[in-house]
Amino acid sequence: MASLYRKGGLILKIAILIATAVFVLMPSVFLISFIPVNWDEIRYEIFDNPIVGDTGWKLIQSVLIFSFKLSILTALIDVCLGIPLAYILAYGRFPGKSILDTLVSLPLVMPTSGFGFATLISWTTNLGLGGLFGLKTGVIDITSKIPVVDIPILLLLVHVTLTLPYVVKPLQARFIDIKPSLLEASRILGANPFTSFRKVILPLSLPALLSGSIMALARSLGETGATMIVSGTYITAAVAIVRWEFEFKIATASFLGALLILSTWAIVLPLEMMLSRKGWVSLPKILARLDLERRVIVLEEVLSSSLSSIIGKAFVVILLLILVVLPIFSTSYSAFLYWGKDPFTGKMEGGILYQIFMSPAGYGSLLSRAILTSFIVAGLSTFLSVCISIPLVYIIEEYGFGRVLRTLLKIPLVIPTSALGISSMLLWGPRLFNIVTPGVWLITLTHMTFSVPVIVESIIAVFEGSDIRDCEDVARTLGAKPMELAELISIPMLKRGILTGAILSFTHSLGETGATFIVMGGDYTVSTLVVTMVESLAIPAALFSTLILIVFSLVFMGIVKVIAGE
Amino acid sequence: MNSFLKISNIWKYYSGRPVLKDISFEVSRGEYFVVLGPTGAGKTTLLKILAGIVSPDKGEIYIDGKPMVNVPPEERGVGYFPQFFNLFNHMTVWDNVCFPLLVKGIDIVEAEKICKEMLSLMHLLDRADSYPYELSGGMRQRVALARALATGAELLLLDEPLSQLDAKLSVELREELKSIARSLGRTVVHVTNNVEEAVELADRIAVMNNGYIIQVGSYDELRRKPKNLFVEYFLSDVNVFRAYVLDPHDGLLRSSSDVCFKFRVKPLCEDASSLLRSGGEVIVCVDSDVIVLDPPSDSGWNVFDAIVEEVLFHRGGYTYILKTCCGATKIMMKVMDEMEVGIGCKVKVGFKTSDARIYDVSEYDSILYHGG
Amino acid sequence: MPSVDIVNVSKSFGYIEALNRVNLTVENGSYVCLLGPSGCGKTTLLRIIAGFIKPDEGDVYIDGKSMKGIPPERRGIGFVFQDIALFPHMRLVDNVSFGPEVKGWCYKDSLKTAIENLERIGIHMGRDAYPNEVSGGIAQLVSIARALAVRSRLLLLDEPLGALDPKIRVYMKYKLREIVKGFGLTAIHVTHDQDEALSIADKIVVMRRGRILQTGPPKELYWAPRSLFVAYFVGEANIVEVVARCSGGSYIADSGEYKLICGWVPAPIEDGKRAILAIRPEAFKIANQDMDRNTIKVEVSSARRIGRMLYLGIVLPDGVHMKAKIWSNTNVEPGSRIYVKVPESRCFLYPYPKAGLTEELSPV
Repeated sequence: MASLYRKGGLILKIAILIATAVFVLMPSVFLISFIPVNWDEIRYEIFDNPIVGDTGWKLIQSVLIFSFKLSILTALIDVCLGIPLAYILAYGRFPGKSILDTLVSLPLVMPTSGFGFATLISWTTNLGLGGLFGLKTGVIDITSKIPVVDIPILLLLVHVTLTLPYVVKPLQARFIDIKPSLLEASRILGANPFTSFRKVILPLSLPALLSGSIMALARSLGETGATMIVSGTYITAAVAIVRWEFEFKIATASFLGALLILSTWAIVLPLEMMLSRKGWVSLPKILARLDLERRVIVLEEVLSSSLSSIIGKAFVVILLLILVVLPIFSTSYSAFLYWGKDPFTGKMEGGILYQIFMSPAGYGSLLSRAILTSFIVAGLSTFLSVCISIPLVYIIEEYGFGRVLRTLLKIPLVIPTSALGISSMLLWGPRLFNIVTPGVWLITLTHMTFSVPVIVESIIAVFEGSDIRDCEDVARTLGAKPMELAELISIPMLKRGILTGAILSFTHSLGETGATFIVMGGDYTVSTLVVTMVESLAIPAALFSTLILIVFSLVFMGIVKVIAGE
Repeated sequence: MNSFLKISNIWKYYSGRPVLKDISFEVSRGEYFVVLGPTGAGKTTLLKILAGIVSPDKGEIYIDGKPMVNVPPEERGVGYFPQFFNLFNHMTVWDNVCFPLLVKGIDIVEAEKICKEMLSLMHLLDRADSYPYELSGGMRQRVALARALATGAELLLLDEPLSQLDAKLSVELREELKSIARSLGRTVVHVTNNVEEAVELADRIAVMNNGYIIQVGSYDELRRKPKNLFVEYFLSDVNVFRAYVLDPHDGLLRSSSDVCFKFRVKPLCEDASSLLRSGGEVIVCVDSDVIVLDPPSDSGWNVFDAIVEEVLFHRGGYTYILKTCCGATKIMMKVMDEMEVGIGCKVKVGFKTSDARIYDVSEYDSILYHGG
Repeated sequence: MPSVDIVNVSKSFGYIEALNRVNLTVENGSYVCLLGPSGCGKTTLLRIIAGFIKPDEGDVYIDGKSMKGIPPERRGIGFVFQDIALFPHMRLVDNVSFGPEVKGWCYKDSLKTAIENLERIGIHMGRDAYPNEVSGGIAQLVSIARALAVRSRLLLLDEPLGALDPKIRVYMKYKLREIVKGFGLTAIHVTHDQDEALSIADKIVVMRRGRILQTGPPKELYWAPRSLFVAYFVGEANIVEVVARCSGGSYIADSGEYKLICGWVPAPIEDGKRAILAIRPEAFKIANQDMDRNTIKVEVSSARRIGRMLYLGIVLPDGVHMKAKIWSNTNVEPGSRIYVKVPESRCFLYPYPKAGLTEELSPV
């Protein structure tokens, strides 16, 4: 009997590993094989075109440079804002903290295209911030940019908001993880709060900060949905892939995608390998050796005053209000204004009611179909991913290669989704398997690629934070056979991680734009529909769809909070 | 001996490093067997191997004569009590205790009866509907014990069952633990790093260090004939000196760190005598309760001057910390009643030459783990 | 050497009252242990002295100076943590020089002080190791050196031996006292372990439910406990219900089968009332016959020898089981009958607790 279980277990494990390889790992690397296999095609289209020469290559270079500039700047700002934010969320004690906490993670579940549109409304029109200040226009223009680096302000703003949680959340978790006694020890030895932060907390959380900011950089590099809406005339690499694919410049799009994947790897993988397992770094004592320590401490003394702590908290609240709450409010407000008619022209045709529900060629049926598609895709890909993820977590935890596998699973999370989409399309489509064409099924398969890692990570978080391993061992000595073990111990204990992961994966899938655009064929999802609406200037319809997306994400956020608080 | 549990030549390696080295012992039916050793000795690994959670790299295990090495834990039928209790937090106390009966497929009426019995034995009936995280440490300990007992297993494996509790509670539960094991007639293998606990509970003790079982026996046997310095040091409050042999025939030694602290020893056995080589270094152990104030000045006694550095109260009496007059050797002396000498007084103290035990100097490393 | 005065300190966490109007004076240069079961408020009190927690009411004075509004970093206190709390990212020596550094000392002085302190505490090698590379005992010693490096004269210790092996605990206990006395410090040490408190402290403060029950030197607490809980919690006590007889100013505990004259009766008891007799296991002595006062004939139910101490289980004439620890060289066989004597001063008699015995002895 026991040997039968053991054999069955082995077969299951192999099947899971194969599924992971096919559904998760292969789509995220397949695109690279495009370069050597189709080199002639690439050369013809990009480097050596009889008509335009190497314009293609020049274009690729320019979008890559712009993208990197944008994401590096985004990551830097994330770090600057993220450290105080995480600090206050981890250590501060004030009313409304849990609301702030929710606000920070809201961009994680908010469909980016909808959020991009909401931000656009609140900054560039008088329906948002402009109206608040009594202006006739928005406070900034979509084309306003930061002078030296040549980056549109609005684009930067959206990227910072969307990637900030990737820095704040791990950092906050790490801060909370640091034993309180270490901080107390530092204080009682004579260090003021600021010095304690610099000398104790920072070195202990530098790895978390580093991996968080790299993640933010990668997400910014791959951001598509919001970028398509707010970038104006600028174009990032991730968006370029979608656009060029639409123009049937498959080789150019694929080449750029492969380059993006390779460069993301080049940044992320060495870092993942390098990050010490102990989770801290030991900093050289440069300040002390130069005897500058004393002066720095005097400065820190001032910064540690209670006044600066109040300023810090106020800063955090205002920041989050502007970045996260404002877009939601302006969208709701605008939707209210646009409900019956266009508030400026007074035309019925410019109102939401008409555009969605009444117009014969209207967006109503398109929107309801898109919602259905979105839910089918999100539900299916999440369900399948959960089935793969649970056993996968056990494999990761049990075997020596688990650590490597876990690192590999991070790839789909960091590579730009539009590159992932093109890779997935080529893999399942004509270039290899040739079994799925663009449409609902391909979207589902593509979404599974990032759903599995998302779910695996949240299950692992619960797994490693509990004594489930020991409980399983104990249950076995008490006589539980493998099936009973799974049913009575493992699944109930992992429930929280599974549910959180599933909801995260569901919202991810709901909000995904970059890959979906490429693999959807004619089956629009809500978030891709929003982009299309904005591009065809159907503002009221876009407003309404965005509002729906915001409502969905708020509901899911609420569910996550309830589960986490259990 | 009717051996119920037999372990022979168990080896276990973790990433190439042996953590259990050639472990063999036998436990008879109904015996309370304690494995005693410092943290990191390999005790928990040994217990997990017995429970079947960890499989040994070499060696055999027999329970009631049946080989067990390839039997998975769910078919071994042992009651395992993990160090950190590992209660199922998603189940009530009742469901926790019922769990082994449920998975065994025991008739529900019968299961309820056993479960009730166990809970009332542990004074937990009124908390049956609570969840483990709502209970105090002492109660959780009882739930874990009830759960292990409910398996009906004859062999109980207890991994530091009292270490997570307050000192006072831990002492009280010792007695309870033993009486429960006795009254239910279970065979127990109990792992601990606490000597007092081992002494109070054990029929026999196995002293473990560094992956080896050094010696197995009753506490009296271990105290009377400790196999090496580690056993001697670990089981009792003993003064340990390093000393050079000045005269092997007379047993005259001189403390290694203290030129004028000289004393004589009279080894009781051959092995020890052979350690006394002229000019060689040995380890000398003298129990703190055999040192007396104002000893008789005959040839059977070592007499020396000392200064009282500290007088500390303890439950059994007083501990005097003395310093030899001419150097830095510290000596601990335990007595029943407070004496007329205070801190700073010069006193004459001594011990019988036959009360000192000697060991090879190479054993010194084995007691240095505490980094004194 | 500083003194510490705690005046009327109260603290609640939500509905839970952790400290209730606590007053305590710690003299210069004394080693004081706060002893009590988990949740009695002892750690809260220590953390209030350190400034990690603000009291709801009352104040702490160090050397006569009020500590109201003074953050921990300006109190000049050394603190030793139960979980040791060495900074994992710093070498041992850097841990010790941390205090001087953040106080603005120059680099050389900080380093020199760190090395000096490590050596004084007995760590001569391995200063460049990281905390996770050394044993718990050494790590705790280093953390003490760290606490002392900024020349604090007041050392607060929060269960400093709790994370260590029992065997190392015994060694560290003596070492701790040696360090405190050697450096001339005032120490306040929190523990739940009675043996630790009894053999390390100059003065023990027994706490329960946020209040101080009794304060005194170890010997006094052990042999003159003012309440039944102290008798029970500090060390061990055999506890039996008896009838109190009061005659000519002296009290007698009457069980029906035997009578014992009680020399320690901290609260008055009416003649003929229910009372609780408490006898420590160490109070028994072997007597030759029953001619003496307070001598009872008992049956030995179990006997074990540890060193020169005999651990006996004895059955009194009325069938009550008691534990006895007797310092003796002669062995006693289980099943035999012997005479034991309890000196008058070591028979404790308390009024029967109003709330019941279980409630009186319950730790929380």
